[in-house]
Amino acid sequence: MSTIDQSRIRNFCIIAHIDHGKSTLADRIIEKTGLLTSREMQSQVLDNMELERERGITIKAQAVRTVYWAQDGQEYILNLIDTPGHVDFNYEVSRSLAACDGAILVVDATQGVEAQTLGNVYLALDHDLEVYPVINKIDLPSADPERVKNEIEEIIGIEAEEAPEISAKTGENVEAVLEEIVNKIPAPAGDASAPLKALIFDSVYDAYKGVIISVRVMEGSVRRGTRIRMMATGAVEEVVEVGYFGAGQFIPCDELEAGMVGYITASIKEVAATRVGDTVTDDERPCEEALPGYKKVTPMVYCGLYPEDSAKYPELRDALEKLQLNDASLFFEPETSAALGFGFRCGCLGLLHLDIIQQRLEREYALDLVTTSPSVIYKVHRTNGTVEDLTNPSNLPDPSEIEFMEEPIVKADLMVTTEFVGSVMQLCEERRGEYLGMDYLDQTRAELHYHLPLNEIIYDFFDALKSRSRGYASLDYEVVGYQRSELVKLDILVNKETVDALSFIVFADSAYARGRKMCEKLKEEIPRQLFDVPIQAAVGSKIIARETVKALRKDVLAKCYGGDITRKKKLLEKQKEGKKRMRQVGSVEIPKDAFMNVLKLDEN
Amino acid sequence: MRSKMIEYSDFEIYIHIPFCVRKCGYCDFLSFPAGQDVQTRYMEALKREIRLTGEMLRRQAKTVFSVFIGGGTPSVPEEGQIAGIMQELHEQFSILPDAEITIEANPGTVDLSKLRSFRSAGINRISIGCQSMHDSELVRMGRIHDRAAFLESYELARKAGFDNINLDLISALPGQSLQSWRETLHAAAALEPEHISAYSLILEEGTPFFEQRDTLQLPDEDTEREMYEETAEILSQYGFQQYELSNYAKPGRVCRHNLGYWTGVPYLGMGLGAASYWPAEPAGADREEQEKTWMVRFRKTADLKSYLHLLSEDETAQIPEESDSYELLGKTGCMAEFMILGLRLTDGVSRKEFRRRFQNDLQDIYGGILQKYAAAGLLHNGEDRVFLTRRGRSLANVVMMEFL
Repeated sequence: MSTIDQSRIRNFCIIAHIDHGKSTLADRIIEKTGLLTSREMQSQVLDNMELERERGITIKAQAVRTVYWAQDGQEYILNLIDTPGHVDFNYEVSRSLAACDGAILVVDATQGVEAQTLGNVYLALDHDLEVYPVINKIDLPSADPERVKNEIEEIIGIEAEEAPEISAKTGENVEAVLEEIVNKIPAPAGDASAPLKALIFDSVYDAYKGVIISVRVMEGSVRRGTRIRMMATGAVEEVVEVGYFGAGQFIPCDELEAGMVGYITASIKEVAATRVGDTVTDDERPCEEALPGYKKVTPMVYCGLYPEDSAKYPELRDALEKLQLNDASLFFEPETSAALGFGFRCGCLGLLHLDIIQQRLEREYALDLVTTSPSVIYKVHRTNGTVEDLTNPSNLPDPSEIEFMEEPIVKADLMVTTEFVGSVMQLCEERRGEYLGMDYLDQTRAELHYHLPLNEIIYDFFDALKSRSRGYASLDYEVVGYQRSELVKLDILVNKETVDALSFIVFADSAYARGRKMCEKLKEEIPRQLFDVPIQAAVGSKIIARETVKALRKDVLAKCYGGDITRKKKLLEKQKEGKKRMRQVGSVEIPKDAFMNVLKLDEN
Repeated sequence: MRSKMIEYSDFEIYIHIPFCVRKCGYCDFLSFPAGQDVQTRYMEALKREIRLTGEMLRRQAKTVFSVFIGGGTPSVPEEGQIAGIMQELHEQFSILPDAEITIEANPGTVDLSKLRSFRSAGINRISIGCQSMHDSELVRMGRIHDRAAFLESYELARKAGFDNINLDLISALPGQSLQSWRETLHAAAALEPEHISAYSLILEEGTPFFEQRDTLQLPDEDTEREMYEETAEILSQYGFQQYELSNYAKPGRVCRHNLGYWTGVPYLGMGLGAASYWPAEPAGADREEQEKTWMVRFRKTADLKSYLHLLSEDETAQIPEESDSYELLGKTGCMAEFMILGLRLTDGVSRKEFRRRFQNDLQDIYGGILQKYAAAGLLHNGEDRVFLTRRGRSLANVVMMEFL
């Protein structure tokens, strides 16, 4: 059996801001390396999930192996490890980066460096990866590669003069990128005879094979029959198959050795056993210590997920378990709501992540869901000296038992063109931002730095930012700690009953405005019932806002002749269907979308 | 016919005449203007359909207690055409001597001679499309007549000998005020017709009004409800009793034909697009099978060309049915319709009648729903009868959809 020479392997990733052309370049690389014919090419081979394609973003880390005959006459194996491109998925990005030996940075020749470009580059540099810039979209008339190169050198501080200027769309100069990969990115190192040490950077569930783990072997080797152990979770299984990633398919092989990227299957059914970032070792000959960097991902945003049809609770649990398998950042535990019945409190990385989870549950598992208001994790300091994490507003102790509360604060970097600096600063002020400073990147762009409470940015901050900067501003943030804050629980009462699923924690000074807005929104969302329905917002026992949904007065089909009956019946059936999409809360029917819709504060 | 029809006596007949002078803004019935030639051929085809249907039911006594000639505007065809249809009906069915035989007519399409010919053909009830007593509202609706033309037609109908007249009125019209609706009601009732149908305007898809819905100045929901509630009050001052959601009659003058629809009586519809409701052929011997096949509803083709194929020389020409209209109703479906239609009536449904028809107790089948809406004040859940309260009548859909 011939083992592959480590010096002929290149493990790399492509990092970029959203829409700068990462996926297109990946497609082009796969095409140029001849792994697939043009006819076989789907437009974005790596993004094989329907949802990803629709959104045009890459959600899950995945890998592909291609074979490239370089200009030096040698055959190279290129393992391209794809990374998610959104700030919500920073941990997954970091694990993917840890599996690489170098990174290609794609920068849009018309847009230049953006906030997330910086975020990703710094993340890569943190992993001691060499970053090689590529200037993309030079086919566009407004492309200005020289300016962008200067920007990269000035802002990021990496060498960009020799960066290939390409068009991933037309394929122009893509060979230069391939040569760059072969010539500049270091070959993997690592002792193939040492005890097995492999990094899990992804895992997917397959109905036939069980869990398929994506690994980068750092040291040692793994083959069929090896008893492997996941060092963090402690799970031990015998390997059934190892192999490579073709484009969209698994290609079995005999052995994965140090330096290689591939997959392992081991009949793993235990869904929580294979966590991204964990180290795989040989149970009989374990390595001394696990790879650094593993952390059990801590969700930043929590919300309630309930099946619309309460009988579907077990199906929702199964679906969440399966999703969790592919998504180590998803956390869930059972919870009960007086309004919504049995469901789950789900923790996720951010609102985009939550949105994706919700949509996947609805599409892939055909579940209809009711989602409650997202909440961050608050620290509640009780008068008895204990501190607890609060993920569900309903669990807030009585105010008399609370000494004080803390909320998570992020450091936000907002990149914005200078003409919008004023309006973006105003937005940050409105959201209780603490101004830290501003850097001018060049004559037209600045980067604003703020401390912002996380709960001010999880709902709609991103939308507001885009609308106030005509889409030009970009945002990167990370949680930097907790800060004491005056927080209160805002309760919503519908027909005099508190709807627990609508309670949320809010900054005390904003409670009045938020309460009024919520009532107004709910009034629009709740259809007329058979009686007047008061909607109230309350802090403690104090009502701070009120609206009323007037009772339904008239709903009758006047005409009804013989031949009409079928049609009238259809109209009634349609009306009844509409009723099914409602959630009975006390004696009031609330449309399921209302729980989420009322949270969206209109930007105007 | 899809399957051979089983024999049944005591039913009613609906005849559809799809022609009108011009389509009104709100109208979603199957109707259109047509030339004399097409009308004549249609009448011939209709007669042939009546004959074929009669022959199919030949072997049994077929007693018909009500005939309704609707449209469209059945008063559009030339004099003598309707008499021809009536003659064919009498030849094929045994229409009871005291049967209610109604024709719809619109002002501007009748003269004394035509009205007299209806009477002499045995038609004893006429339903006149008055709709409004305000010329401005009539114009907005796209009606072909004004108030004066209506009044003239009404007088002519009396003169021709009609002693059972219905007036159709429409509330919640674009631009209509509560006051103008009151005026229409008073003016119509003062003429002392035997029956008034007062419908609230519904914007049906495919009508001109539906297309203009954003610019139509429709009364708001509260005004609409007031119009509805005042209708019963005003008409009662003139001796009209409400007996159905939209129908009011002088004592002993309820419309037997429509009452048949609301109480689940079988009917045969003939003519373009006409619907029929007929006992289904039992599917099998055991009870479970039989309960799946109680009644069947089907519709004739709505395509004039296919319908006129009845006239071809082809002796085997079939009565053209709408291919997707065949609706088989099981016992459960019939029970639901019994409730939905029965609750339209002011008297509601009788527990005894329910038990007689379905061999089940109303309470066992729908007890929960009845209790729920009785508690909400929409329904009177009596020992003998169940009916909508005054408030329930305004919110009938809320209750009715529960039975589906």
